[in-house]
Amino acid sequence: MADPKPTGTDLELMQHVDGELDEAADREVELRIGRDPGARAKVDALGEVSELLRGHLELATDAVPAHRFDQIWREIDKQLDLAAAPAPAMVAVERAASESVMMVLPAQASLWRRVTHWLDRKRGYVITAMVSAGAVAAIALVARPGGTGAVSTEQAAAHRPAELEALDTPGGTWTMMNVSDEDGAATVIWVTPEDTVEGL
Amino acid sequence: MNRLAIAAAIAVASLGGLRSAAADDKADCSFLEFTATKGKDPAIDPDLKPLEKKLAHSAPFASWNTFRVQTKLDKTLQKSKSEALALKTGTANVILRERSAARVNLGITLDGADGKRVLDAKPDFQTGDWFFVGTSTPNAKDDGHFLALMCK
Repeated sequence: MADPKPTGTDLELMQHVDGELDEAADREVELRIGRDPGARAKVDALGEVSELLRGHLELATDAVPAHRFDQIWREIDKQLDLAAAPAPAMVAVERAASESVMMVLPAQASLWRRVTHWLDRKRGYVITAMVSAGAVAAIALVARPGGTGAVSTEQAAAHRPAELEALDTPGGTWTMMNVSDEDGAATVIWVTPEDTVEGL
Repeated sequence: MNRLAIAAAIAVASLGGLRSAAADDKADCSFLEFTATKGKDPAIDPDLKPLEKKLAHSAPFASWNTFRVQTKLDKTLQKSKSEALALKTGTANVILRERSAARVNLGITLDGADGKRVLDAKPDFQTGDWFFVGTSTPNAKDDGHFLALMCK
């Protein structure tokens, strides 16, 4: 047996159950339900189906984990932000306008303001430059082979007496002596003339 | 902007290098020409006070008891630039060959009053140490004639 198709009257019954009818139409349906036991049965059945559906949906909602809700809300927020944000082309136009203002402002401002303004805008680069320069300066100082500064303890401990790369005494012979006391070290080259040697 | 950082780093490195090069290219040196004789009254010239202990107790100075400064000079030697020292007896030339924080390497020539070369030496010694060159005096074989130098 085929199910009876909802007629206009049945549709009115469904609208009555859902509370969608205006006052006059709703009153007519109420009268009809009072007269017609079949209509009453249909209305009761429709009410039960509605309750079942509502209960099922509530149970399904409870079964969704909380983190899924959070994710859904984040996606909603993102969509809202995107909707509220200006279009990329508009952002570019605004940035260009902002920068053109910055370029104009310094020309009219004091030198100090222009410098601080520039530093504010380029802070990251300036810090990078300073750190780089400091590192290079430190390396240069550490790697420096010499200077007029104080001799380090290590250097002092490694005191070496004088060394002669070359020595020529055309008119005589020579003797080298190292002398050391609390006033420091000294080296003496004594040249004995040839005629003195011969005289000995 | 990265170019600015690189430029700043190079500038600092260059300054450090220049400073280092400048420090290694010169030496401040003191020169003392003095005579050593033996007399009745021992005496050490006030300019030789820093060397007093060595002159009084160490060879070969202990052979004499009187020390007189003839010439006193302070010169800043530039690397590879010869400096002539006008001495009371003879002449000397000094050149800074190399230097580091701890040592100097010099070229020294010493000529006698007669113009004859007495010594040609290339010593390498510690900064702050004294280096002496001595010989007997032509007119008095028992007397000594010294050139002492010290560089910082």
